[in-house]
Amino acid sequence: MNALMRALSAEILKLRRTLAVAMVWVTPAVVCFINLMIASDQENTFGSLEDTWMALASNHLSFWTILALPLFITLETALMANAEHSEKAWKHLFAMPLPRWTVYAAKWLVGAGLTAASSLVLVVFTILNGLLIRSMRPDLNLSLDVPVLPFLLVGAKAFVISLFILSIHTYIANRYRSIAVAFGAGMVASVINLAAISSDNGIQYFPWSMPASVLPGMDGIFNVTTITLWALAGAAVTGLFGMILFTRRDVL
Amino acid sequence: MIDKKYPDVLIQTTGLTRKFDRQTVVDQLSLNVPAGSVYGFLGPNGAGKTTTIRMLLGLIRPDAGEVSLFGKPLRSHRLEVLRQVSALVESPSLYPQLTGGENLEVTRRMLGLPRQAIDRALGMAGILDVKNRLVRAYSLGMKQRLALAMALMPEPTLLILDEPTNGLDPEGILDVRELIAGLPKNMGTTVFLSSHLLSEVEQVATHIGIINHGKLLFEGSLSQLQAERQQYLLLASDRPEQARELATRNGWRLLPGSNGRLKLEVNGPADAALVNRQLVQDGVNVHQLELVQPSLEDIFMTLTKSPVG
Ligand SMILES: Nc1ncnc2c1ncn2[C@@H]1O[C@H](COP(=O)(O)OP(=O)(O)OP(=O)(O)O)[C@@H](O)[C@H]1O
Ligand SMILES: [Mg+2]
Repeated sequence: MNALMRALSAEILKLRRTLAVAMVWVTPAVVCFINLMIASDQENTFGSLEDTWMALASNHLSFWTILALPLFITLETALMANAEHSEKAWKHLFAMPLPRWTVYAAKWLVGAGLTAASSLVLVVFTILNGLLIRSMRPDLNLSLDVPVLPFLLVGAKAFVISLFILSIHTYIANRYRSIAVAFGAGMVASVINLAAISSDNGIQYFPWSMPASVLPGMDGIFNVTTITLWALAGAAVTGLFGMILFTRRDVL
Repeated sequence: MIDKKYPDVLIQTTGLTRKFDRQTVVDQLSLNVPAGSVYGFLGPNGAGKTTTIRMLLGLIRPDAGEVSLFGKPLRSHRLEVLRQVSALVESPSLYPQLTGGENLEVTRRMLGLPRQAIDRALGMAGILDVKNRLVRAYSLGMKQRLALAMALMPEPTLLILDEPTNGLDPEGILDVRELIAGLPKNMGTTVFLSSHLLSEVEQVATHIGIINHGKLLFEGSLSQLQAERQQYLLLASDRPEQARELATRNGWRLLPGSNGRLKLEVNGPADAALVNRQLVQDGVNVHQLELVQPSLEDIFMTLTKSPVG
């Protein structure tokens, strides 16, 4: 445990002045900017007026869960792994008297931390964006009674489900020296994701699609709790399996 | 200074072998690195030095043979023995967006060392003044020194350095040489140092191992290697075939690789004169006679040039 804490604290220090940290707020900012553009279109009414906040959040969350979140995880894991690949740092890390798994686990934990932080930033930005839209579009009659807790809950659920993707990408990014493999995998997954989302049952089976099950409209169709449990089990299995595979490899 | 809780041989490999796609890169290597030594591990490019070092650190697995550090098999005691080992393998592993100090801090956190260790190590490597500069802005030599500081930071019992003077200017090479030479005495550290230049290690090493095509060609103290510096006589004449025959008949030992000229094992100028007299008496006209004292570099070249396998 002590060794894991040491590896983790080293991993956190490595984040200093990195793009990986900047992306934590840049990604949600982009999602919010797109939504601001949509809201500035006077024709757009965001559904029934009573649920305007939920409708607004649903718009933000669609972009987030379907596109931004999986790509965010792809990017963050690739950036963190590339810091080691490009400097051939694995030989240094793995020649240290720490169990190899702690280094891998620290990377996963930092990836999870960054994803959680970005999810939280998204919720905060969504609310701020809503308030901005409220002043821009008085016709929408957005109340000041912001449903903060439900927003947080949905963001948290999407985060927990996305851990499955994180486990898969942590392995791919660290296993393959070329950053193109990690990005390629993320992009192929995103394309399949779009197909899976538009099919009847795809969301339940494709890891990259699972976070979309938290969207308000999906309530009646899928059992989010079941999907969350499956995603967690998937995260644990692929995480452990990836860790074992990775730490047994020759370090060249 | 050498702590007696360690055995006399800090690194021992037995029959160490590693293949890369069927090519045997390290071949039945049996090394013995004595405690308190500076061991120069020499070999030309591609000899298998880095591959050997990777196996010493448990980074790659041998196909056969075993590594023991501090008398304990690496396979079963990896974490325990690595606690006393530091290494710099090939290029420095640094994070360019961090400062030099922060780079050491990353390693310090992983090893759980006290904070003072950072400045002390930077001072030893002579780069304390650039501690707060981003490594991105470091020169090649500064990076090399920082990597060296990183390896020295834990004050290891065994320090493994793979071509540590890469990218250093003459002054830097001198600094590092001095630093390394003093380590056994000042820090109780045994140094295992790879290089492809004999001239680079002969001034610091107490022991030498020479490897080529993955095979160990020589291992011993520097004085043992110097003892191999057999003087020889280089001789050219108008009738080389007859000269060869005569010299052999007179009991001189012929050395290989004379390239048209005769190469004979001799002991001093008196021998040279005797050979000359014997040949001239038998009607062979000697037109060149040279007594050669090979340098260590010559020995190294001879050893590593000879066809192996
Ligand atoms: N990952 C690898 N895959 C295939 N062959 C390899 C690999 N690593 C090393 N080799 C081969 O093994 C041989 C020895 O390489 P090694 O790096 O150990 O040599 P070296 O003695 O360190 O050389 P140098 O002085 O150039 O650093 C070389 O022929 C090299 O091509
Ligand atoms: Mg090498």
